[in-house]
Amino acid sequence: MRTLFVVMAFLLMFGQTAVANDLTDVENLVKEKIGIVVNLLRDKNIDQVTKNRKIVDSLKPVLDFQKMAKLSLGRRYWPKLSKSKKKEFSNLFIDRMQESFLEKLGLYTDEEIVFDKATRKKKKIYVMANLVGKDSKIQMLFKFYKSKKGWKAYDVEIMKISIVQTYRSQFHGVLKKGNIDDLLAKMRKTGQFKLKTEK
Amino acid sequence: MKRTFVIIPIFLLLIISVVFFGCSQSTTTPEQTTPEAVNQPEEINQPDKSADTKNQNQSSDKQEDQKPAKGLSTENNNATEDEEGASEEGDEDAEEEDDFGEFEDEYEEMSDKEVFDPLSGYNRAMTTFNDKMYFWVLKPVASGYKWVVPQAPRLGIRRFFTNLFYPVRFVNNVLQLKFKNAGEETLRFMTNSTIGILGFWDPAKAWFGLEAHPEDFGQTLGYYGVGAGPHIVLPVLGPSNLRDTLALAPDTLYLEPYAYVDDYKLRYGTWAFEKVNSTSLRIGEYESIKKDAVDFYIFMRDGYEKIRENDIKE
Repeated sequence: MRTLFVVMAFLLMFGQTAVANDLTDVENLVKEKIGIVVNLLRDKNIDQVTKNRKIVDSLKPVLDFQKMAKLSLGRRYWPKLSKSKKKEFSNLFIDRMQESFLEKLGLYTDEEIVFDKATRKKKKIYVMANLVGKDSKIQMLFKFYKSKKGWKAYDVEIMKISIVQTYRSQFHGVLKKGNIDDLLAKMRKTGQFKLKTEK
Repeated sequence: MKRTFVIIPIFLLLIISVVFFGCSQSTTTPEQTTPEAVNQPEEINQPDKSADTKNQNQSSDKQEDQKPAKGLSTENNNATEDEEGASEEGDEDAEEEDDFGEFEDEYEEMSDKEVFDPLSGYNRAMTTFNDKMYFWVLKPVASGYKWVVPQAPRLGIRRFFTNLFYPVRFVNNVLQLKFKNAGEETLRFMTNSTIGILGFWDPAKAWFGLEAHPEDFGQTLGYYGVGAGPHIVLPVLGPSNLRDTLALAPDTLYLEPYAYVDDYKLRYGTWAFEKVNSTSLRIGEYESIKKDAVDFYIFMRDGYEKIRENDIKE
């Protein structure tokens, strides 16, 4: 009995430190990735196309665009789509997200990036990055979940506004009145991004 | 019987590895360990008991073999509670429905209920009008201005105007009983107007770490529970709602510096100049968010309401 007691205590310890490690792991992951991106942005010796490709390559493993695509249609719409529509939607969405990210990064100048301690919310881990500029402060919250391939961001909040939520309301608005083809057409039309990344 | 011989060593191995890991990992607080530790033994007793009963009646081997197996698996659950939750999620198309479970409740429900937006027709038209105003008037002017005037003076001018808006922030902080913030605002105003030379510099923040606390009358109303009302897009000024539109009056008529400029040409001139100056510092932002939007009006509407909601909560 006593040994079991001790074992359970150790078990608990193990469980808790694993949690604490997750927090620092995710925090370090974000720091590392942002560091890479910032260095790339500051690097004046490489051309824009290569730069963009390198940024996308370094972010891809941690930003789960596929998950974002799914969540932005939600349980209400995503499961109803046919396989080909799912694919088309995902592709359009992912392109849009990637290029939108690249474009936002292009607005980055010399802001200092300050990180808050990672926090745990249920099974998710949140990391807050503050972009402190000349006389402005932009908060970016990266929300992570544990996927099969490690921790990945499923949503980003900028100034407390969730990207997934914004897309959800817009997609819901379109789909309530029309169907998926209307939405896809709209996405093709509005997705006229100039930045290209060599595919 | 044979199976139990396999299970017992596995069980032992598991305990040893867990103990080993437990030792190599760092500490925990004792308060947290006790309540769970009390709970656990009940579950752990199960495999023990079943092992005992096994010795007594060996006839029903199969049934009992399952029991210790169960005991084991519950143990595993305890150790890897966290990993489990994550692995529930399928990566690709499989298990679509379950996949949303732990995410969906984070977001607003997509219901059939219409968002209360009685003015949406007018609002959409006004959004287009403002968009044209931006691209045809404001942006060209601001771009030219940006080309002529270097960034440093433009930042200084923005700080100068921000400083002049001190009464709006002070009064509304006081109205919301945020006296500490109101005091900080006052210190900022005094410091920046003097040492900061009429507010062109911001030593209050740079040297003394005094932060600005922007508040307006719309937020004051929100603070006292006044609802936003329908969304209204104002000409030139952009997205607003009924509450914030009505709240413009006290701020603009009494608290904003323009209210004290008698000459109307000068008043609107300075107002326009301030707009051009601040726009020149953010060219590209509007274009960028516009591109992100699938439905620009909904995007702007929800964005505005959400930002205001957050500002009021702060």
